[in-house]
Amino acid sequence: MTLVQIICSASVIFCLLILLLLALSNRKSITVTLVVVAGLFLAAASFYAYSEYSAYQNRKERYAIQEMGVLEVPDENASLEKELIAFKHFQEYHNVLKGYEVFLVDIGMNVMNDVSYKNTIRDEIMASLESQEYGETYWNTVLNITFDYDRNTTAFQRSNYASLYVVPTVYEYHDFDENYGDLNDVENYAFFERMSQLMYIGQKLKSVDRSAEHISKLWNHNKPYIYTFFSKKKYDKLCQQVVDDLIDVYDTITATPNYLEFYGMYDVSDDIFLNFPSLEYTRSFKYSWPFSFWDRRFTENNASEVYGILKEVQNHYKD
Amino acid sequence: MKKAVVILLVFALGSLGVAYYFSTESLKLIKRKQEGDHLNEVLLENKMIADESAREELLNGNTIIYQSIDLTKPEYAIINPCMKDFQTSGKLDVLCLNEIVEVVINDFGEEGFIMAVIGSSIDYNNLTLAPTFLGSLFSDRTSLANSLCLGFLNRYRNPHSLQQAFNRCKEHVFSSVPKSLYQDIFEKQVDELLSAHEEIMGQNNKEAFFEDIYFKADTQYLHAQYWKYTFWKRREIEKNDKVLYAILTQIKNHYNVQ
Repeated sequence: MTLVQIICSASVIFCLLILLLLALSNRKSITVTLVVVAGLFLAAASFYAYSEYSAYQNRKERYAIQEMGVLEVPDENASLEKELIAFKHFQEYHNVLKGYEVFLVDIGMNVMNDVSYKNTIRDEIMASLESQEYGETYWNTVLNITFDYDRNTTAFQRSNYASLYVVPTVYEYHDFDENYGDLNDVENYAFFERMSQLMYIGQKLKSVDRSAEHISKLWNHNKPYIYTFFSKKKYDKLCQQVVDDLIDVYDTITATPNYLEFYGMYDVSDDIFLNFPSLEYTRSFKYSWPFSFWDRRFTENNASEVYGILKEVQNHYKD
Repeated sequence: MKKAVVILLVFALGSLGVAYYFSTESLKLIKRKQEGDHLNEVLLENKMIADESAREELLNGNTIIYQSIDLTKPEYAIINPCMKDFQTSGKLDVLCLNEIVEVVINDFGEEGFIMAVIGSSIDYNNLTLAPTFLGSLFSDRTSLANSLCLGFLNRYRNPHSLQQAFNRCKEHVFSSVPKSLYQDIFEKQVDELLSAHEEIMGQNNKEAFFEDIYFKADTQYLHAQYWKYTFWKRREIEKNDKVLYAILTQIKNHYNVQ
């Protein structure tokens, strides 16, 4: 109970007492006394009311001013914050400048960890290959690159199946952030150039139009280059086995009934996949790759065109 | 008589009611005031925390944001030997510096570079102009970043290119440098330079004035103290004093009006 509530209830009781006295007594003197008491009581009550009222008014004025103070704070806050943010802004630019400093120092250090420069060179190598697209130099590079060429013995390494894995390996697993050593060194540069060119071929293979028409068109436009630059000697050593195998496998598969149905299945396990046309037949090859090759050609709907091209190649290089 | 007592009592109770009403209103006000005070306190506390953390961020913000430029082959062919020399001798020759600054500007942008020069001139501990900044630009053993700043500033000694650069970038710079930052970092220097310029202009015999200044500076090792005068002598030799005076005046006016 607050003080006000106590005073009010006390006053009410006091009034009831007076009224009681008034009702019970008949003597005039008591009545007069009661009038005086009531008058005094009224005076006290009005004074109390007035003081409460003025106190209320005062408070109201005082607090109104302070409440405005509450509103001002966020403004000040914002301006100081703005200043500090401005400082931060400039500090960051300063830090960027220091970043350039570190980059430049790295360049001077000749440790070839300046990835960006390497990327530039790689882009240049890839762009130069692209600009020669389907010309003489282009096919010379592309046809030789997967077979490791040894300049000293002028011999090609990695024939047949081994060369087939070079491009996807470089494209998918090679880490171009690795250290190639000083690129001013001829051997380092040659290796880097080869990696970049393989990267280009990987990208090309991923993006090229594999439709049957485009493959035929590409072949017909370019076969003179390939026949010219790829000698029979090279063919016999590097490609013959793969081409013969692919043709043999295609002939055998397509002679088996339901082959399209079989290769239309997805997600088959190796056991099932290599059981077609027969386990003995698939096992007679060193690699299962020719089977998955044709599986992919069937899916891409270009198997017969590719077969035609391979057959043509085989005939061309026949004795 | 009895009636009078009853009336008086009724009035007295009425006033009590009024008093009760106002006292409850007062209580409400007090409650609101306390809430307001509390809110103020919280806001103040938040502001202090925010300021403190922003300050701390500035103090710890002295890091490196690594950059990488895709150099072309010819650029690399120039910059690589330059930086090799820098590794061994700690110095960059002028042609190297120009080439490197050019490459960095192409990547960073002119405005970015201006921001970085301003950023380099600030002492983030005290939020003032770093007192060593100007001196370190010309020091032999300065950092590469400071050399780049100097190389960048050297591009604007020609009055024509200075004026053009100012016209190009002033909007951007004015909008990213708030008045408070200008006052903390640059105002004193700008005002001193402008008043020094007026003082110089007021001299009848400028040559004697400068002779006196240089004599005093040389004999008493007070070059720093007379910097604001010798600054204008150097600008006069470079013939960019008029342009620069106009630019500084414009900067001062911009921030005074704001």
